[in-house]
Amino acid sequence: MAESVIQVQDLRKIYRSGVLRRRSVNALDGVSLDVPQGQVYGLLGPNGAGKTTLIKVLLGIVRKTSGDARVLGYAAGEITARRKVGYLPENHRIPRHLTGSTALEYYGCLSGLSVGEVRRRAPDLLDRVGLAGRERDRVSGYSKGMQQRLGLAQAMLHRPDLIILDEPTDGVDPVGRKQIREVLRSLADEGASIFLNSHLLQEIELICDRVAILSNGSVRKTGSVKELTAAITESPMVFRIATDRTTAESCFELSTVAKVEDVVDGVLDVHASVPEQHKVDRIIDVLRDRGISLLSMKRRDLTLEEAFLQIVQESKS
Amino acid sequence: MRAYLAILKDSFREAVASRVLLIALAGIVIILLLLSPFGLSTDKATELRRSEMRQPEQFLTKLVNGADEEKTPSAHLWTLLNDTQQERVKNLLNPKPDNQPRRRGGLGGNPQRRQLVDQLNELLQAEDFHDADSWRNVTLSDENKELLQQPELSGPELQRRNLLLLTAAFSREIDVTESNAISLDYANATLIGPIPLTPSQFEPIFDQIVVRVVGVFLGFFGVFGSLLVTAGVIPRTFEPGEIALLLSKPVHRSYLFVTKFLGGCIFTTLYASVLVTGIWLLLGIRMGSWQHQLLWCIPVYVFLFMVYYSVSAVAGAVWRNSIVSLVLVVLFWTALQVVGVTETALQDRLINDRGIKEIAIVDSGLLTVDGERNTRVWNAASSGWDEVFEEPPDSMSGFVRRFLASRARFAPVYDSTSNRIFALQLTESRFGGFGKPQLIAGYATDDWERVPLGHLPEVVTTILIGNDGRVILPSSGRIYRYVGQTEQEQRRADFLGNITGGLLSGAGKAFKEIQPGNMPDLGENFAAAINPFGNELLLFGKGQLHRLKPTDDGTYSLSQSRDFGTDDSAVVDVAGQHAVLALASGTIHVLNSETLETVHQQQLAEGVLPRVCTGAPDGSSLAVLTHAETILLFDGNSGQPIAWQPPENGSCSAVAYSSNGQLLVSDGRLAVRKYDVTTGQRLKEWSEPTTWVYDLYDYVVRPLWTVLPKPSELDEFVTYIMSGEKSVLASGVPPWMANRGNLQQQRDTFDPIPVVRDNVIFLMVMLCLGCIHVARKDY
Repeated sequence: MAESVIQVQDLRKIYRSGVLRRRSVNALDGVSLDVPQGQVYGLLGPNGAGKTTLIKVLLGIVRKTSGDARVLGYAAGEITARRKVGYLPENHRIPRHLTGSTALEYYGCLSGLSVGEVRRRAPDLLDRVGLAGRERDRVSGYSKGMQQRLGLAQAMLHRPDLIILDEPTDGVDPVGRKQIREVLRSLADEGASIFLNSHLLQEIELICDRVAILSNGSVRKTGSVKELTAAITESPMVFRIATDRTTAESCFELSTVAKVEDVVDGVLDVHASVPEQHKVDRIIDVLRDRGISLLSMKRRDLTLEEAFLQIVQESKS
Repeated sequence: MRAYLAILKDSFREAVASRVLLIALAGIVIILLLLSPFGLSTDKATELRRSEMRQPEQFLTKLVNGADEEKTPSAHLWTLLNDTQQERVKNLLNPKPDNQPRRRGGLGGNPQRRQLVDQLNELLQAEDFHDADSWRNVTLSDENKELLQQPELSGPELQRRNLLLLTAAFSREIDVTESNAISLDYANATLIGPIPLTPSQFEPIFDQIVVRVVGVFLGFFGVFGSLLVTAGVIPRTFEPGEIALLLSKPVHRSYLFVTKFLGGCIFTTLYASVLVTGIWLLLGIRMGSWQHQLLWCIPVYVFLFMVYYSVSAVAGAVWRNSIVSLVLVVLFWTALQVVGVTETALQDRLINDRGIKEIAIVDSGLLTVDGERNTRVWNAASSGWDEVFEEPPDSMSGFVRRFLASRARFAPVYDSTSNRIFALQLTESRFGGFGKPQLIAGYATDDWERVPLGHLPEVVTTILIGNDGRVILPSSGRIYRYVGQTEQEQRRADFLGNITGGLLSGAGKAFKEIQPGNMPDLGENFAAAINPFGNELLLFGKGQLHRLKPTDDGTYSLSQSRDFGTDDSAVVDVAGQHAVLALASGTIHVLNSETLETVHQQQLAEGVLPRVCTGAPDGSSLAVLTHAETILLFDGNSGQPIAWQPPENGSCSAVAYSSNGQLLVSDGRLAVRKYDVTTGQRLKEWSEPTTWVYDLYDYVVRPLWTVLPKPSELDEFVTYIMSGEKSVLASGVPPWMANRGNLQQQRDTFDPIPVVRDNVIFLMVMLCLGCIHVARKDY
């Protein structure tokens, strides 16, 4: 079992506001999470689920209310931990008077690097994120995508043990996204641990080794993408039968049939939602009684989006 | 550390990237370039300056009366004047009633003095100014002798020679203390020159100009400009996108806030450094005045900015809005101004004007004088002070009154032998400055009604009363004794003097000259005291202390002198075996009154000036009151310091002794308390109940003023740095009219420590609040 870079146990964060009329919001409600080393770990969740709060607690930007959170073995927010973490916040703002290279110098020194080290590392890094040749330009002249890439570069600059990215491809064009994905993948291949928070399910699906789904301040499900999308009883079943459409439809209750597809002449795939096993048995009995050949039968895997929506809806209900 | 240096470096980058800084720096460079051709050049003085005509009336009298003498400088000079000029001189001495100019003084100087000096300067150009026979009895300087031997003289050399001849001939009336004259040049062309001020008079004005220029450009434009530019630095830092990134780095939140705050100060530091260094270089290169202390203005104004910026920074961290920050700073500045102005106004009214400044014990009770020179007597029935010895209305007003009031104490002295008080009513001379003072008296039997006794022949600022009731009035070169002529008698004598052209002038008939034949010249800022045991006089002037013994014929003889080797002025008093001499440098000598040997020497805190020395009539103790309102007591028998100090020490505005040696001190307001010096026991109190205005001052305004920072007082701090003077002359007196050596002159004592302390405390509190907020806040 790989060592954990992030360990969260029953983490709670309540935001309180108002002076006379105190209001409180449970942003994190007993989150428990374990992020193994050397993996790209995705954090999924709807707006307001508590994803950014969780990241900010891990970095000490927000104080936890209770529970335990450790980053790289240190208490969340500890300076030693922050020294080993690279972070790209959502909607970050790099001071406008800086250029690409002076921004890297600034954030590199903030991370404890010397100016010389930063200057040695910067060219490769800028090339890697696609900003080579623009390092002398003022940040104020950068597009949103370029700023994201520069943000990513500063997060990687001090070669951290853990990179935490909050919506890294936000505002980046498809080409840029692909480029960022490649950078992240190569980082992962190099053994870096990446904790990624994104709305883009496709991105998570493509990059992440493991995913946690956060909803209403608590983790609803964790696992690999495969595990999350694996067939479950709620998944639709596909019956491949040798018959015509009219006969096939009479064998199924209309309400359960999602669609009927022609495979080859006289062979059909019937997609039906039959979560209960006794209903499956009955369908098989009906097919046998009518002499219809059942060529194959299987439950279909969910897409990540389906799995995500299903989990989120469950948590709401 | 590297992280915080990076933040500072980033602030520097931000400042450099700011166009406002570049525009400001370019503006400064242009101004400095425009100022750079200005310069001062120093030459030998060739003209008489107005302030050097110390005794214009005496000079004119000597000139007019000497007209008929044989072969004297006066007679020779008179011959150099044509009829019109002679008439003009006579008219200056004895103006016709319908020809008296209304305006006396003002910014252009006194017109009569100006007329006189201008006429003399015209005369200095005359080649036949020197006549060997006329100057044969005059002691000439080496420089003068050398110039006289030269066969050919240039115009300026001739004027210089004649000026030296004039000052040598009239050394008592004309005092040319500084031989150099200053001219103001622009690109090597003389703009103004020679400036009609001595270098030592010009120096404080010049310093003031530099302080004002630095104050305006740094204290106002610099600070507010910097606040405008930097108001956004902290709010921008704490914007969600930027702060999250910063806090993810291995930095402490508090250090981050403080470093960002310090980074914001870089703008002002750059601005102040360029401006002050530029002025410093300009003064050094162009004017030869390398004022290194000017460089202190950089940290002082950066500190001033920090005080205001701390408010902006905390507001920026809390509200994350630069407009809110800026508005709060302006409100803060306004609040400080309101509190400061209110505090100053109330202090002026309640303490400076109404507060007791002088105490005089009279047989029937106690007399006091307040800051407005009003005399009051204690009324036991009403437990309050009743005004007595009132000045006639319209005797003088406005600037003249303020100017004169600031020059000398108004300290009535009590003569127990005749049960009356004496005081000197200062007047303004027709030629500006002090005129002949009037001796006035008030009799207990007449409810202290003011009775004029006569005008003294020359400037006198001190009255000494002997144990036999003799009234001694020393001047810088003579000693007068009041011999009892009344004002009416003198007026009659003056009338006779006028109609006989001054030959039978009765001025001074009420006063008999009793100085010794070898009376030393004491200079302008002399001090005098009389020993109640034996009526011996102690006179201090020009660094020398003289002991004068009374003689049988009622005059005085010079008994002993001691040279203190200083140019400092001093205050002095003597009582019994010991005398106390407090020099302007802060050195206090307790002396044996017989031998004038120092038995104890002590140094006041740096910058603290003595104001009054007084001795107990029974000789039991002596006291020194300083301008910082502290008291030092010395034992009259041993001459050693007394450890006990009255509780009023630090806020004591007046000190006096009763006839049996009990100490009376004022609390700076309306109360006088009497103490037994040996036991420290309070014996009596005369205190008028205070009004609600005092309560408002004590419980609202003053605490608020104490708690709040005082950034505006840093301007005074700059003056303190530039001049090195902790005790500055009272406001309202222009620097060129100020007599710095006069210890009696009202002074506003400036103590830099509370100003720096209060501002530092405020700054620390604000930064702590900012740090606490930033440390606790979720971003």
